[in-house]
Amino acid sequence: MATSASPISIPTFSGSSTFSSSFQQVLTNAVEQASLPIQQMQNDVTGLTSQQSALTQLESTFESLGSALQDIGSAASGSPSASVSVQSVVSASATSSALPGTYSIQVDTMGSYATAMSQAGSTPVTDPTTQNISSASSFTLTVNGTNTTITPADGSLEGLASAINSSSAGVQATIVNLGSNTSPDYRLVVTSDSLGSLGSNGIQLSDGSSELLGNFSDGAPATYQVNGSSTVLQSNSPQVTLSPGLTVTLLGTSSEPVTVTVSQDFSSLQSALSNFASAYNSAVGAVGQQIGQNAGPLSGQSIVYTLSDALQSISQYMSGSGAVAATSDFGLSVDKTGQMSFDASTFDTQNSAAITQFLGSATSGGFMQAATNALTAVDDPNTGDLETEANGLQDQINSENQLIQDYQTRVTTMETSLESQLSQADAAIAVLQSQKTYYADLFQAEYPATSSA
Amino acid sequence: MIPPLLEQLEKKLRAAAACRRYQEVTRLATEFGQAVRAYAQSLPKGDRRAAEAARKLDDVLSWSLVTLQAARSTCLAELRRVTTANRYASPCGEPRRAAAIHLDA
Repeated sequence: MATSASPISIPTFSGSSTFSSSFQQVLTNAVEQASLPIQQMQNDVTGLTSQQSALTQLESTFESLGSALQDIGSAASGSPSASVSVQSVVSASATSSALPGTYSIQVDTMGSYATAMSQAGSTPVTDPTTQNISSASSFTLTVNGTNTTITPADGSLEGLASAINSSSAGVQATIVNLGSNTSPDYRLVVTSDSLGSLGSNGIQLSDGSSELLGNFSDGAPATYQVNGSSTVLQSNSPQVTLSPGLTVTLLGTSSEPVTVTVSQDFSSLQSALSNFASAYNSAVGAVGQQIGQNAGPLSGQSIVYTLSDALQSISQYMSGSGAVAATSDFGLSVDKTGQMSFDASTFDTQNSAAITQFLGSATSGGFMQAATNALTAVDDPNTGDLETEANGLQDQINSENQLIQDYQTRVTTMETSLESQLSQADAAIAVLQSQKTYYADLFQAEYPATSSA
Repeated sequence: MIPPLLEQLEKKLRAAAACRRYQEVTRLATEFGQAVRAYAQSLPKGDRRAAEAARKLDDVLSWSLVTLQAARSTCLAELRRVTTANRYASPCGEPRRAAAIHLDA
């Protein structure tokens, strides 16, 4: 018969197996190894970012070169410049519409301005800041038959003059002292803005009860003759338009015609060419930093050679005909080291028309079109090689970053899964080890005759 | 003669160990040990079936322990294999290069 069973104590098994001591180290090593590709990819991203930065610098350099090229186009035909043979008679200025050539002008009379002055009052104005020639608050100014109401801000002579000057009556008011320093007698002087006659009653000022101005002196127009013509011309202004885009200012009379010469000024073109040489050298230098020993991050990239080819196509442009066939013919040359320089003295020896013809324009041909096309191909903001390369680099960076993120997720997932599996294995092994020992001891104690476990 | 209950527990424990169901192994090992002990206590003192049951318990636990240790080693080997393979996974988004063996015929 079976004996009554004693209560079975439930053994608890916990802890780690004898293998677990190296578990964490193994796991750490495994994760470190798995992270190596991530480090590699991060290094790749760093390299790509460096390339992107170098490309941005190149873009900036080529944009400057393109801007310098546009400046050449703007200045290619030169700008009109006017000079005069006798500077005391006239001065001249020319705009872009002025036609180059020689003009002459003979100034017969300088003309004069109509003017009138206030009459002597019973009480002279000794202080124009407080006193006036009339106590009225409103005046009527008549110029060449046109009335204008004048309302001074205060009752002073200066206030009246200021109000006249603020009006659009076509006159200018000033104050003069006809007295002495110790006994001043300030008068109002009103002068026409333009030369020429205003008639006998040209300028009048009334306070409603009496006429305040007198001593009227009528004006006269300036008279002159152009290009030897016997026709005497009149002008109510000292500024005379001699030709479209050519204006002269009459300064004095002359008994003989004065010569005004309009010619094309190429100093701005020379300056533009010099600036272009500097911009070109900057571009060459920037590209050169990506070639050869100690080259930058774009070393070996096709874009470097594309840019280099573009620069060469610009500097080696030949028109094939004409007095000016190459840029070196007017002083823009490249030396053996690839550096461009501009020699103004060589430029001065060349015919400006030939230079202008060689340069052409960005749309019609010549150097400008060839250089513009070459630069547009590389630095166009939408289709240029630089933009295409930059977009490609950005795509690569995005792709690498996505790979890094995916890889990190994989490593984390793997770590979690393996850690869980090994932990469970360790726990189960520990339980089995403990149970095996426990029951071996138990049966040895309870059933010595059966000990075999 | 081992009771059918013990035989069933033995089969379940061996299957769980073979299939790496670690938590089930822990539970069944405990349950199996308790069942064997209860069986032995139910026998008359000196009954040889108690010794037989004790040997069976020791055999099953030993087998399970070896099986789990083997599984643990396999798990570690798998870990190393996976991490090594990952190390050479295409790091730059380039297409994976297939291994090529050139035979000198």
